Amino acid sequence: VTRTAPAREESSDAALLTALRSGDEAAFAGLVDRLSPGLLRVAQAWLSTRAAAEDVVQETWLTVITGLSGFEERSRLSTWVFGICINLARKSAAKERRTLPFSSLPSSSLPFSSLAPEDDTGPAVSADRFRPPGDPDWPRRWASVPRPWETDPAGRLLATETRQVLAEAMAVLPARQRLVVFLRDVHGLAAEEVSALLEVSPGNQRLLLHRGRSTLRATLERYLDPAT
Amino acid sequence: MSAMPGAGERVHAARARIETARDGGDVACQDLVEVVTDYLEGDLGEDATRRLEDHLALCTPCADYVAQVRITVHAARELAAGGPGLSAPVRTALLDAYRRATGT
Repeated sequence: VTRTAPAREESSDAALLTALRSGDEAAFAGLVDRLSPGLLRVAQAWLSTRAAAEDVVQETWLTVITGLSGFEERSRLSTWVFGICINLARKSAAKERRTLPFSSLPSSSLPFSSLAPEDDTGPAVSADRFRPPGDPDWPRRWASVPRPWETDPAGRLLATETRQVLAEAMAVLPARQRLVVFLRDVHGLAAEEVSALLEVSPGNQRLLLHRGRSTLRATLERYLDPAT
Repeated sequence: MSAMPGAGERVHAARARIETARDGGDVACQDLVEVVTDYLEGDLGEDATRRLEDHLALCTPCADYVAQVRITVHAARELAAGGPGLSAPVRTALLDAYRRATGT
């Protein structure tokens, strides 16, 4: 299964680009409003303050404005914008590190390529949900089974409250996992794009995604099915 | 790249056991949950994918588990629009810059 952006988004890229290049201010404002919350969150993974992140996002959009005519459409528009933002955030963090004492920086501003011990958040599912390895009949099979979730659009999963639970769970993921899940699952970037943008190997990209998704699933399960 | 020994080795070991499983029934559920991302990413390899899918066909809890992961991924997409955006002055400055650059 390849994770790609919804077709709607891809097919609208060309039309959006045409509008942006022809000076359609509403189209530009719409794009800024749609992507800026995400860009701010991405920039904050490297920077210590909200103000510094906002500076980076502003610079990102100025770079986008300048680069619109030369954008070669080898990637999706949003991927290009995120890439600019990540590069600027990295540069800005390097500058910050030279001017601020190291201890005042958030741990998340450490280089992305060095995975942290905090990223080993344990097994995908707690070991006590399974029968022990020595079980004579069903070793390492489910002891406490996951139960199907109600996914009816009118049901609980898509409720605002559930989205809030997911958003909060996302906010407390270790920084690197959060960034990978954010770019992959929230914004729909492809695995190769995220590996390249974050300068992380494909294997570690997948591992961070695995850790992050597993934690989010477990949190949703505790919320949707508290008995487990 | 073994900077994350715990998680990396856990997935690696689970993958190796699934690759050598006799059949779907020989796959441990506890291994399946560690390779589910490799599976959904299409990076599991032919043999392990076949074993895993054989297992899913006969293990309802694991099928439910994979469905939950898919739902989680799908639900995450709904968070794209959330969160605070740019402050009003910055937004206005950007629209001005855009207008100047495109000459409208």
